[in-house]
Amino acid sequence: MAIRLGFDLTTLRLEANAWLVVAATALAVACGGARASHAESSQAAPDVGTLRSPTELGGDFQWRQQVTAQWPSGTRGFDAVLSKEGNTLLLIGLGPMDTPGFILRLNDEGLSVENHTGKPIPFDPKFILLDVQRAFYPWFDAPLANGERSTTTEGDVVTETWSNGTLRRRTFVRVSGNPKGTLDVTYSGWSPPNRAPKRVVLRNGWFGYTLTIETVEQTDVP
Amino acid sequence: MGVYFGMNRRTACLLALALVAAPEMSRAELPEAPPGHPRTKDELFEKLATLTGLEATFVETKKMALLKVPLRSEGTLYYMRPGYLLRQVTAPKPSSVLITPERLQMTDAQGSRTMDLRSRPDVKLFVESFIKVLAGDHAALATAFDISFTRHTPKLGDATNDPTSPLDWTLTLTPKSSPLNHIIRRLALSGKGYAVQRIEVLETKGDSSTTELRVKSIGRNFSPEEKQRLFGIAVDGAQ
Repeated sequence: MAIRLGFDLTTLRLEANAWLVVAATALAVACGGARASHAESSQAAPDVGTLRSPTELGGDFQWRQQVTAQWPSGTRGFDAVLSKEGNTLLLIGLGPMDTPGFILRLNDEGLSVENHTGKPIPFDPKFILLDVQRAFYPWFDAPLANGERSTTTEGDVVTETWSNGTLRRRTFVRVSGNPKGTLDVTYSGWSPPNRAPKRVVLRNGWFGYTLTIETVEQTDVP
Repeated sequence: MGVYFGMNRRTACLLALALVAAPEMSRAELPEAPPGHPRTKDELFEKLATLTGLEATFVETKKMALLKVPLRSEGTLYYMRPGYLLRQVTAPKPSSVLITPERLQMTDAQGSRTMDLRSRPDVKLFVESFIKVLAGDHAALATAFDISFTRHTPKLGDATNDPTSPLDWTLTLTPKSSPLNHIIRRLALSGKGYAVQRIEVLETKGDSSTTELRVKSIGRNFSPEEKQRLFGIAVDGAQ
């Protein structure tokens, strides 16, 4: 079934809008098909980081999330499950009735993709997991009570702001200056002992989109 | 708790096979059933065909091979003859799926998407399978599924009106052909009396879902306001 996505994929820089395309893919799952182009996948993407091992995330968990992607001309959302088990990180995009649409799996063997949408996935999954990484991985060895701190790692200047023992904001600026701008992540709705805040907003100033990630259920997996 | 919950996949599949393979007893062999309890598939379908409507709360548990923890959702189901079904999810986050004879409409915080089912007979067959059961439409189901009925003989001393006592029967639908048989291995509906209380879907890839229903109103009639609010049916009958 052909549907209108609200934006034209062929006019987008694919690598720069990976999450938007995921949202579109989720919509395709929902509606059984979508206009999608693979044409841009050969475009060179700026180097914006290296995927780290899921073991750096600590204990195993399963989070159910709702992701809303906003870009200048539109908004789309989809449901997802983010799961960490041992050395494996899974991001599952869900269609209606919780049907898996796509599965991104990161482990010691690297990143792999399963696509059950019936259409090619026209994006580089690495960029999705880099956003997950910037939002949810630890970037310092220990939490901070209050204040701000910075470090340079993986080609980024990472700055965190903490208040009352909880992370409030994290920013990333490329040391190389390419791409320009700031990737800004804000956190709200911390509720101990939950490991994820209720709401994370990632404003990707490098590529011009915003992700709002609401964690609606979270379970520590023994 | 669903049949599959707490079992490993092998056990669940074996149980599924057992259910599908269970021979339907002839009417003459059946012990007497309490009033209001179907003894045969025909009795079940005859009674369901008189059902005007249904309202039930549900809890769905979806087991995925990839995930250690099943996904759980809960909400309310509304069914109205001849072919309207609304599945309203309230947790973990609100969403709904509305099926009418003409369309499939999915609504969540992002808005609504609609599929014209008249142009998608393959999808229509799948999404309407549960509706066809509730409507007692054996003929329609039989075009797409092998149908078997298993009656669970009550044990001595069972309180047949006790909602916690075992289910009376299981109706198992096994897809006959593509594309359904590439998606689901079987659909099993179990009930007590004439009320469907459990729906199980076993997918070909091993994932499964179990929906436990708690019927609030069987034989539910909907007011014109409810028909409009729940099913999108305008007062004059136009959608």
